[in-house]
Amino acid sequence: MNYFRQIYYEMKHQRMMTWVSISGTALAIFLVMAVIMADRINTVEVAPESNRGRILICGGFNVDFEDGRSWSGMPYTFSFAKQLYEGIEGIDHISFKLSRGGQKGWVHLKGGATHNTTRIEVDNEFWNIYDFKFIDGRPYDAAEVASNAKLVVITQSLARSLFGEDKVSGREIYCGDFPYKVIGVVEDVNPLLSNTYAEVFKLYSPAFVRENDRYIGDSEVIMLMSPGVTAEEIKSRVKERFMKVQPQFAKEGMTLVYNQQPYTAAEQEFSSNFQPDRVLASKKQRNLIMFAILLLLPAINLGSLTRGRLRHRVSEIGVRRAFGATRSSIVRQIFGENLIITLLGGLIGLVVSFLFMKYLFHLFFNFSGIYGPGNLAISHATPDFSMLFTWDNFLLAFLFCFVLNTLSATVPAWRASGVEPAEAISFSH
Amino acid sequence: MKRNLLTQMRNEWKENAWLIIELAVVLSIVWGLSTSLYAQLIGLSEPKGYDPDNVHSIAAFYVSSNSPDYIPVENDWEAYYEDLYRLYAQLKENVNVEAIALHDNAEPYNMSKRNYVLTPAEENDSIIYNANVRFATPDIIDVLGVKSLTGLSPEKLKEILSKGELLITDSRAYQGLGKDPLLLKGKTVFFGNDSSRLFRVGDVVQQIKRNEYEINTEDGNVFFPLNEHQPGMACNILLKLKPGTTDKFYEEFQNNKSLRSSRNVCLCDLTSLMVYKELIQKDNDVNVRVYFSVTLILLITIFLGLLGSFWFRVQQRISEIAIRKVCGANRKQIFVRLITEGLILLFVSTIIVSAIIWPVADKFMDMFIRMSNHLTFEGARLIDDPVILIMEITSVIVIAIGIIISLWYPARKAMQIEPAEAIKAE
Repeated sequence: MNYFRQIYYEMKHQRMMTWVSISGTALAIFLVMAVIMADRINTVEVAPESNRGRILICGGFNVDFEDGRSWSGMPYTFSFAKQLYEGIEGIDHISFKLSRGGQKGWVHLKGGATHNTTRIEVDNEFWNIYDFKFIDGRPYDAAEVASNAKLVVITQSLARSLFGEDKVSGREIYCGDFPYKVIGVVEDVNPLLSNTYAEVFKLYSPAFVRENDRYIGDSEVIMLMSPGVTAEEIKSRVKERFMKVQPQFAKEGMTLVYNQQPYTAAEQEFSSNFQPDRVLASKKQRNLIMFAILLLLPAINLGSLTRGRLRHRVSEIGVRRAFGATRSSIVRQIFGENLIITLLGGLIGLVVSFLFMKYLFHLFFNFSGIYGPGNLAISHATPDFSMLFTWDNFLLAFLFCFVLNTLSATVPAWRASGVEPAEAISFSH
Repeated sequence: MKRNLLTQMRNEWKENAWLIIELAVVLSIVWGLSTSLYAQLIGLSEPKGYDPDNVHSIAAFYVSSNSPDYIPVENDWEAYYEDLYRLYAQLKENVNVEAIALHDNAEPYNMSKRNYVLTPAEENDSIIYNANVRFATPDIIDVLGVKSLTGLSPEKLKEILSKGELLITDSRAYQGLGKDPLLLKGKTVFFGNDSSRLFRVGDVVQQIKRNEYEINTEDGNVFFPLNEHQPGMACNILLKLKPGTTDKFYEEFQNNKSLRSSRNVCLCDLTSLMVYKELIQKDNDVNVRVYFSVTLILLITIFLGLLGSFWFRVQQRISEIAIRKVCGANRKQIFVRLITEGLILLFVSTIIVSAIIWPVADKFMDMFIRMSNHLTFEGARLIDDPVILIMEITSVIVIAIGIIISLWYPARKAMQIEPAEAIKAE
């Protein structure tokens, strides 16, 4: 209670400087949290990507030729993908997806105006890996994929703009110039969830794709690990498969390069790099340095503000010392008081960072490469609050407040507590 | 008084040293960021070669013969040209449409390139003009507002295209090889190795940028004329609407099926060029905003440090300031003294930063240039010594203004000190 009374008096008597301290703290926490939250968008677990921690992606393979040429990130033929990934121990589901993901696709009703949509083509297992919420209808099943039926699942917003209602399963839409039956309607997906974002999910039946090459095809593979299995275990099993098919490639003067496939959500961003784990590790290191700078610079400046505020309390500290307070108890008192100010600033910073991410994210982050996003929906996408309000984010914000407080209050508190009582009492300012 | 100030600053050397270091770090980063920003933004001041206002793009597709909606025709290509022309002519007559052109690869804000080499037929010259070929009907001149570099009117440019002649653009890459694109006007050229098909260059027009941030270093562009009845290739449409008619036209296009389809040809994806501009320039826009924000945040951080330090100093010097006042110093002198102290710190930082960075200025700026994905070689070349110096001076001035603002509060507090009260405390 003493802490709060003290802060109340400080705020009353040194209003300007207390608010400057709070704003400085808020700025530091806002910056750190905005960077962290933006970084975690690629790994945060929200529907329909609630299983992100267990999902592994195999986008393509790399080959080196004897003459120095190389292929990188080539999508698989169905047979080659099965040879490498099917039946791996520790995998609950394996799904095949058309690799040219996130294509622009024109959709219309018979004779109606076209809607420009984003389309992905996926098989039935896709619906077991990702937890889409079906508003109407159902996902297509194995039998329908086996018969290459002309079926699509569409999102709620597309159903509304095409038909003016949600319950449209069984109705017909045209994708390009072919009619498809809508089998289900799902809740809209945030465009920042790059593996699941689409408005049209077209049935993909890889067995029906004509293969012109033994290895290079149209498919990429998505796998869901069993609970408790680690990505490293799966990677080592996949590596064995790569080694097994190596002689086959050697006969044709090629080397199949194992590049740490399959990739976790965090590694996916760097999958085109060789050794994505190293790139990821250096990114983590870079982030740590950035967080240190983002916290250290404000901490030093906040420290001088704390010192200024404590200057006013020299005589009070002197009296406390004269009545037997130890240096450590005074440091604890100052540290505690400052922590409350820091937490107040931290809370403001956290709220500002949530609002910034929700409303201004798209102005400061581009997740779509140097040639920009494919459409305005992706360009204007911002994270949902469910992607931001995670326990981890709250805990991290608290931790950073504590670190900031330790950095900015310890030295001034220790210095202030060392004042001699007689000297301090003679000083009335 | 000045000497006194320096002595006082020397007495507080520990804290001043820290502030000088902090100011030096911030100054060098702000200097690097602003120089890099200059190079990123310089392209915006160059003409882009077209006017995207009220220009919209429409895609055209042909229903494949496997589709249940396919209407059987005798010859697909002939039917395609016929139907495409019918839709095009219909749009041309639309009251909201100011100009319309059929094209392939002629739209701006499109990063794909159709690369061809243009060689003058009459000269034995190894220097070639590399071009991105934009195929279009003559009205593209009115749709995009293409401007001649030799002063020809739009009507004249359209006439040139109608005659089957080419329009080429300015090209800094070609100039870099010691050639003037203007000298190609009137010459006969051929594409690639096909010297059997010769074309006359009718005029030279302004360079067409693919992205407004682009610096005019790219290869040239060629407008290759298409015939609106027989374009000879699959085409899309670019049209310029009359000002204020966009909503009306979009509504009409959405609701009127006959405006969108004719037998197997369907028009779709009516989109403003402004949308493509936003998408293609998103990374540049984000980059510029981030650079500005980082600069601003760094400045706020350093000003916070100055505010805290000087506030503490004012409290520490209450009795000294009071004595100065008693001895006749006025409020303005007290204020100026504190501000001068801040500016001296900045001056020292500037000398240190200049001494360290100038000998390696190229490498230092290169570090910031590399941080941006978009700076071309030409962008980096534009950062020469005068630019670096101007950016240093600008950064110092911005920081100096910030120092004055951040020291305003402690200085004002110092001005308000009442000598009698302050000395009583002693």
